[in-house]
Amino acid sequence: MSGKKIDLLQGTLHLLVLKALAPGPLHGLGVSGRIEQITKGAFQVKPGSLFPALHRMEEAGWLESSWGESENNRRAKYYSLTKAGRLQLDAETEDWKRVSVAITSALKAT
Amino acid sequence: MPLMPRLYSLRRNLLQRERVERELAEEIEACLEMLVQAKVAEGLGPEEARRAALIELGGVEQVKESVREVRVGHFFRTVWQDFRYGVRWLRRSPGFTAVAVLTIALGVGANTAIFSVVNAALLRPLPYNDPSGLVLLWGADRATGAERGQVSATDAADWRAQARSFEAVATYGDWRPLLAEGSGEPERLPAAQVGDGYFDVMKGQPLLGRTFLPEEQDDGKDFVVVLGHGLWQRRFGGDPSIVGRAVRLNGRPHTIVGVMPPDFTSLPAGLLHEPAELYRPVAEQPAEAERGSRHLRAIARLKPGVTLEHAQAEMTTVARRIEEAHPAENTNYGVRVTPLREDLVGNVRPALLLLFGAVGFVLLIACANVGNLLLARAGARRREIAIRAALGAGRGRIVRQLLTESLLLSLAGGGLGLLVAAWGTGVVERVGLQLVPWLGRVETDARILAFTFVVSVFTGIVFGLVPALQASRPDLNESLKEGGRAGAGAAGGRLRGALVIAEVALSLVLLVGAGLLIKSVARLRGVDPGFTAGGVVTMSLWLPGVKYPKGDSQHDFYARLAERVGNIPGVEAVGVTSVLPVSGGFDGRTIEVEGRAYGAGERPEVENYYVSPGYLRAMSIRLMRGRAFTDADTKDAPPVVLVSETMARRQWGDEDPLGKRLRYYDPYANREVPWRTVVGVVADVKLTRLDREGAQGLYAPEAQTPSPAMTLVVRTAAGEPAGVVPAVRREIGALDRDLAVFNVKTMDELVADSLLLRRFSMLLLGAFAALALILASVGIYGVIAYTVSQRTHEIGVRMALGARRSDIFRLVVGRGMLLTLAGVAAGLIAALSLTRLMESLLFGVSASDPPTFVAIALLLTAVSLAACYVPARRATRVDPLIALRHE
Repeated sequence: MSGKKIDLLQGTLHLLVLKALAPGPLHGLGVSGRIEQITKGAFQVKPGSLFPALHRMEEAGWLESSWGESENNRRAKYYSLTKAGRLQLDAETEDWKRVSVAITSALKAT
Repeated sequence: MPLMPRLYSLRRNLLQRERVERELAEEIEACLEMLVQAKVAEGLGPEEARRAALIELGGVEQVKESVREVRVGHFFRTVWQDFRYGVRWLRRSPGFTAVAVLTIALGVGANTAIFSVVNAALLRPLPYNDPSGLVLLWGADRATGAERGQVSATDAADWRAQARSFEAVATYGDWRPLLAEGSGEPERLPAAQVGDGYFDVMKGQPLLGRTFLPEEQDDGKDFVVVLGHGLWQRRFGGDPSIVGRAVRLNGRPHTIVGVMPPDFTSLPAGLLHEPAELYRPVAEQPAEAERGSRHLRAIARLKPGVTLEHAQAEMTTVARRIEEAHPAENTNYGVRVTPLREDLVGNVRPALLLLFGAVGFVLLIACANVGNLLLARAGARRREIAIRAALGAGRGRIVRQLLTESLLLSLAGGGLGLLVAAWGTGVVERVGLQLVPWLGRVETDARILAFTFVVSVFTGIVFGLVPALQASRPDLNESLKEGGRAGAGAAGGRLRGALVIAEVALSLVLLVGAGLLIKSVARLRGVDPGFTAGGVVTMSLWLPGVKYPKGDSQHDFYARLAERVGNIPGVEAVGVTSVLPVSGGFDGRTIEVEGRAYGAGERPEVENYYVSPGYLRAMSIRLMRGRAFTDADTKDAPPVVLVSETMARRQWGDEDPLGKRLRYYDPYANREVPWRTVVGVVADVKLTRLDREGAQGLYAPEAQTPSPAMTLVVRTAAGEPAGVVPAVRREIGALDRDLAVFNVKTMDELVADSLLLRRFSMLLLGAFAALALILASVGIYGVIAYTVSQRTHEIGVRMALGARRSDIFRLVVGRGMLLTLAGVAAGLIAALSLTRLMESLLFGVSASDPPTFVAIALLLTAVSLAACYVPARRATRVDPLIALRHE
């Protein structure tokens, strides 16, 4: 994968992670499952990209983590949105909509 | 991104590393566990489920590493990690580390030493207040081509009145008063007479009292002096009430009107005879009658924003105007404006830049050598690197780690290089001070430390980057498969070959440069100076006008002194002269030959000496024709002269010069100038420098043209001529105990001084070239030896297939020679274009001197043949059985 492509996807990945965590806390694998679910299988986030993203976002203060029990009784690290994370989700959603509208109209133009 | 959480994370990542790591491991483990359970739930067996889960995860360590890479502070942590790893690695191979660090230390140290001198001479501001605006104004004579002539007070006053480019213009000249007061022995002081405005030009504010008033330039009001800070401290104990006191100089009272501060630096030797410790007014109001009396020099300060070109253009116009108004004195007389720095370093600059370039070459060779070592080691480290890559290290990460190691090497080398430089600077400084007297101390300032640091880092990157890129090539499978036998591959071999070629080429350029300089100095040594320097000691005297007012008394003193010194045991001959050859000084005169008509500016210029009868014998200057001066050539006898061979040829061609008459030209014809008869012809003497063409020399008897300032020339029978100096001093003291003796030097010293710049360049360039040769031969040896060790197997196969030992020898040496010859060819081409830059330092040898080029090429080839010999011998001793089993 070239570096440029990662950068392009990173913004999208952040948005998807924030969105996936909006309803409530999830552990890493849960996040990727939720993303797969809400994008109807369009995005399958590999652990190799997911975990760096989670940690980066945690360090940025958008996520916080705590240790809890998983559905099959294992200790797992759960991520949830912070206040800053919710604001970031709103901001990125707005951005995405604007970009999306612009791109769509650009593609429609003849 | 918000700052606070990141700072918090940074602290946590750096300080609670273990906890962070533990949690990361646990998180990923948990994830893997869940994946496995999911796979089991899908119906896979436990083993298979785990395999599938690991594939989906992409490897536990890889995921962990990718998380670590995005963490805040990751960069610092890895740098620190690389640093520790690098130190450990370097300590594991002390031999390699020592060779590499020493090589770099030599390269960086030599560069720092030369840079210190370049910094002091060419980069650091001159030690004057606001020095960038200071320019010198010279009389330029279009008739003779002389561009740096003296000026008259009258012309300088006109320049000052007419030119708009300058804030201030002032004249100055030498003065050597005798001071017999204050603490200490009577002393001939280095001093300057300065025209009105001099202290404005130099922006000097007195520490005590004042500087000179304009009216103190009037004759009779000029017995005032300003003390330099050093003299005030040394002779007057820093007396704060000194201003207003009178001090006897040359036996006459002078009032001290001011003292300059310690940071007021005198103009240096070269512009003055010696840096001045004392100042007095020029005491010459500009007078029309004195326009042709050019015995002063001029310095000026440009107005802010005025360029040198503008000032030169304006002065050309001003000079033309004066030329038209005063054709008798100023025909063909222009003005040249030069920046002060140019005059101070003009002759040293090419040599310094040459050395700076040469030392840069040495550093490049050192880089190539260390790079080669690293390449060879990178071959051996392939497995290690491949494993790191397999464990998730990206290529950039590996390159960074390898670069950290080379930077460690180069910084260690740079640190050690500072020690080398401290020693080298000492050596260079001692010689440099003689070359550039105003240089002052070559100090290690922040700029030099910064230079060393930058050069070290640059070095580390230059020699480290290529091997690092080479070693980190992502052909992981290949390396792991080769199972450690890995050679560095064809690409690595080609690179090393290219580095050796570059090394050989660079050394060849240096060697050729050194060879040309050595040949030049040898040629110069072979030049017949026209006199014999060995066994001669010289010293200067100056008779104060108060005690010796008349020419008769001056001549009488020197005649009696010569007689007394001649009686000292061991003294063979004694003479006095007004000008000493190769000392740098000269007395240019205009003459007229009897019976010839001259237009303005057409009269011959000669280099003039007033000498006593003993002078020719004391200097061993050969008399070619006619007779020398005798004691009978007194002031009442017919006026006579001797001429040099060159002068005889230029003035009279094939005619016999003996009996011809000439006289010194007096533009004012104030008094009758006597015609002088040529009574003899003497050998040419190289006057100012040994590499100058023989000039037209003219000698007149000192008895007929007495002068207060003379140099005593004493030829001793044998041994060390300086040994007679105390006895000579005693004789001088016996005649007049108030006289100061100065510039005591043997002729050998004076000749050596005149060769100094070339000898200095030759020695340094020779040292650099030798260093380059050693480094290059080590480089060739290293590469060939490495090739042999890598190809042991192949050599074994060849021998098993029937190759003779001589074939193997040829194979190995052939590779070395191929590289050498390619390097020699490239070096010859480079040298041809580069040696042209050093033409000004050469003498009697062309910049593309074929014998030098051929000899150096042969020398390099021979040395590299020797360097190949040892590994080639080793190759022939390969036992095919062992080599094959070695597999």
